[in-house]
Amino acid sequence: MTSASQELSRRAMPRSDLLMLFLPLILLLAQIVVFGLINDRFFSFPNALNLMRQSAVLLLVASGLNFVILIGSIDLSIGAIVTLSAIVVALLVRDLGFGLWSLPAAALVGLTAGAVNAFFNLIGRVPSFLATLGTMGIFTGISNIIGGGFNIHFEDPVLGWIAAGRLIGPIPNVALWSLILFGVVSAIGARTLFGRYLYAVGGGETVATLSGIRVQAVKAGAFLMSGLMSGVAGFLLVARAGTATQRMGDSLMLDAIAAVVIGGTALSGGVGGIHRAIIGVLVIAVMSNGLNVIGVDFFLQTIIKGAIVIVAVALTLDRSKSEFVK
Amino acid sequence: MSSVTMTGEGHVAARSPTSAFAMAKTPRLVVEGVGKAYGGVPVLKSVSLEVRPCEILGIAGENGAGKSTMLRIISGIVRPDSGTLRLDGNPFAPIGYAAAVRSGISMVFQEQALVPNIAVYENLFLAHEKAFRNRFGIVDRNAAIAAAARALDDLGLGHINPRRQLREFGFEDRQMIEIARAFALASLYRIAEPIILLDEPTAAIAGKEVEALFNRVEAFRGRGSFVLVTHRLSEYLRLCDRVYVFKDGENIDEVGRDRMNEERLHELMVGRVRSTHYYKEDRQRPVAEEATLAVEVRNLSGRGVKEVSFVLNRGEVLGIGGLLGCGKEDVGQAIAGAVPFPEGGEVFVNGSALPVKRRIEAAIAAGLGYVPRERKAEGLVPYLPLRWNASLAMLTRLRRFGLPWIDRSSEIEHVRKEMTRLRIKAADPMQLCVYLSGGNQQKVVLAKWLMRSPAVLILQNPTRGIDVGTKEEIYSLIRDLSEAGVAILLISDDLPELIGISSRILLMREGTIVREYAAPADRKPSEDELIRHMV
Repeated sequence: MTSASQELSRRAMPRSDLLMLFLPLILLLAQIVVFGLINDRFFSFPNALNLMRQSAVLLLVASGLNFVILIGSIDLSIGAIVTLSAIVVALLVRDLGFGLWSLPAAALVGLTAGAVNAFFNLIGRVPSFLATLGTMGIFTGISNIIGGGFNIHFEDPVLGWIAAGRLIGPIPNVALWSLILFGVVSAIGARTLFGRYLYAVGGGETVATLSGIRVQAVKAGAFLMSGLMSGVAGFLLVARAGTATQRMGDSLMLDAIAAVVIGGTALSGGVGGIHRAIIGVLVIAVMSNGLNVIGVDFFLQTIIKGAIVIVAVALTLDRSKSEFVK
Repeated sequence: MSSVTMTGEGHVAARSPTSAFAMAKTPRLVVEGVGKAYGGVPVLKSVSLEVRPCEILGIAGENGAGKSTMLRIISGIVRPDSGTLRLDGNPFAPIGYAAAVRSGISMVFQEQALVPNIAVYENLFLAHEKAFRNRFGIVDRNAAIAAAARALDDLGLGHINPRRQLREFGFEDRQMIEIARAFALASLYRIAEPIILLDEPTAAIAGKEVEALFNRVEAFRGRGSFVLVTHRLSEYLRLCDRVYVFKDGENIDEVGRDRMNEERLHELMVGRVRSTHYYKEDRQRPVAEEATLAVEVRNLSGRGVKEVSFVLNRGEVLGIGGLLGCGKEDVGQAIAGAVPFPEGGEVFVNGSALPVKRRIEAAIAAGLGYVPRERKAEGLVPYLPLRWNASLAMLTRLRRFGLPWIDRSSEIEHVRKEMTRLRIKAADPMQLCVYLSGGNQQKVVLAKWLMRSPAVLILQNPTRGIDVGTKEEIYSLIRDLSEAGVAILLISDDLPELIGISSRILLMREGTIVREYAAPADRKPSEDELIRHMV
């Protein structure tokens, strides 16, 4: 076997690949250390809980988005879906007393939105960037119409408990549901046929087709998952806030895309993993939380965030694997 | 073929009386102690060689031996980690390919380095437009077009209009344009004696184009030097004055023309003697009288083919040959259902009629495996691990409890067995396929289908760009499969391979089958006979 290992060693995985794997973690640790040094309130227990609450919704949206990015497409409508779902939930709870039934309703909203995206992309053959840019507008418009442009406030003890209660120890419920769901979709991504097919479709669609995989079905599934997760995220978001506002979910789109890329899933598809979303989400959440704790001005925060995202993506994006880094 | 006598070292004087360099007898390019490593893994280890005036030099070696890397260093694309190069006595360390071109070294790339959405003449002189600037600094297009037309004409490519966009031309024409570029650039800089590097120039062309290229190379002999890298050993014999043999990153031998034959080259490259039955004809099964039908094609028509009908029996190896555009690839695609394919007519695999819509899924379900022509674009996903690529077509059989949950241990076991059977050399089955050699990659593609125990296997150019050692293994595998009753359809541009492996051969020309040959082990048709009907 010596000649085999010789032959193989000449093609061994370069050290840079291993570096790529650990860079997001290193980044995360670096941030934690820096923020902690500046203000040790960062390390406090209440702050840790805060961090969990703040990142819960983003984690759901980012994991869902990961499905679409793995196949090499993108979903820009995720923020709008979150908003739409939040408004629907608020209306159902406030006006129709739906209570917990608003959760399946939110999921349905998300799935339908995902189906619309899939329809335009797969049957309409519109590139996903443009299709979801369009549906972003459509979903936002629908939100405006049904919400009338007002904030929708509601009071529901069940939803209140779902968001703010503590089922297990000190962990805020919202973080708990988020982690459980994240675990489920990560398992789907890592251990099911559908999950494996995502990589094949994203990494080599022709190869996938020629291997007998139903590529259209896989792609549709990805958009449905993204929509579904955004729908559920909307539910959690509004449960936590108690009020649905018109632009609630907007900021989540950019944060989610950044989280996915920082986590190591390439925008060109076929590389990374659903489970990777959590690293990216933590990086972003820690950054927001940390900057708040040390008292940085809000607008300065957005500048710093943008800069760190660029740096993080530049370092972690494995260009050798992306064929088009335009 | 030019009849120049070879006298070993001092042959130059006999060749070209007008070559100034030839008179001087000094080598054109001297490479000394060059080493190159990628990611800590040495690809070239202290290699020395020289390129002499007016010669055609070959560099032979298995995949991974370092031949392409050597060419890239000579052409300035890659910088060596150690060692020196001297061109005509002066130190030569080009910064980039353009610098090498201006110094007189140009290269024909294996994977076409052409831009599809610009014109042919723009492609030919890409990055060298400055040479056509007039006194106002504006590029004189007409001069460039004229120069392009001349270069194309010289190579027998007068039918290619240099003004047209590159993507309007088919694969083989583009390959010839790639070749023309090296010559065009050499003329552009009025390099009296260019050195042209040929990196597997015939890997994707056949017949007429190969002849045209070789004629051009031989015609150029008195006016420059060539360095040829190819996987077809016969080409070294045909063209080269000397051949260096590379093995594991070292230059292990220099073989002069007088000592050159295929067996010797094979032996040096692989380190063992080539078996006399390279194509394992002794294991070829005779075409049985009452054979069971595996594939039936009736009146296949449409894209590229006209009324093609034939049958393929179990345990048989049916070869289909023909020149560019004959439609043989379309036939393979039609049976497998690889879009786009000719849709007219009927195709039956194992008795089931295949639908037009979603044919590939139906074909696979009926027991077919399809090994496509371009392994990196169609056969496997390069940035996925070996194990995932190997199991890609049979994941549905690896379900746990009937749910779409992948049974990992079963997957690992199946892949391990297949890796052992095919002798796929990889220390870690989770290694990304992009890091495997061409031969191993092709084995992974084969493994993908073999794991399903197919009844029919379609192979499109299965040994393209693969070293001889692995080729032999694939031929053995084909014999193993035949013995087990698998029906094999071999569509290949490699004529000796087609003849040696097939028990029956169909020749196609312009979309129809023009001849059928029986090719029993003891009475194989000759290449010439086949070529006569192919053109």
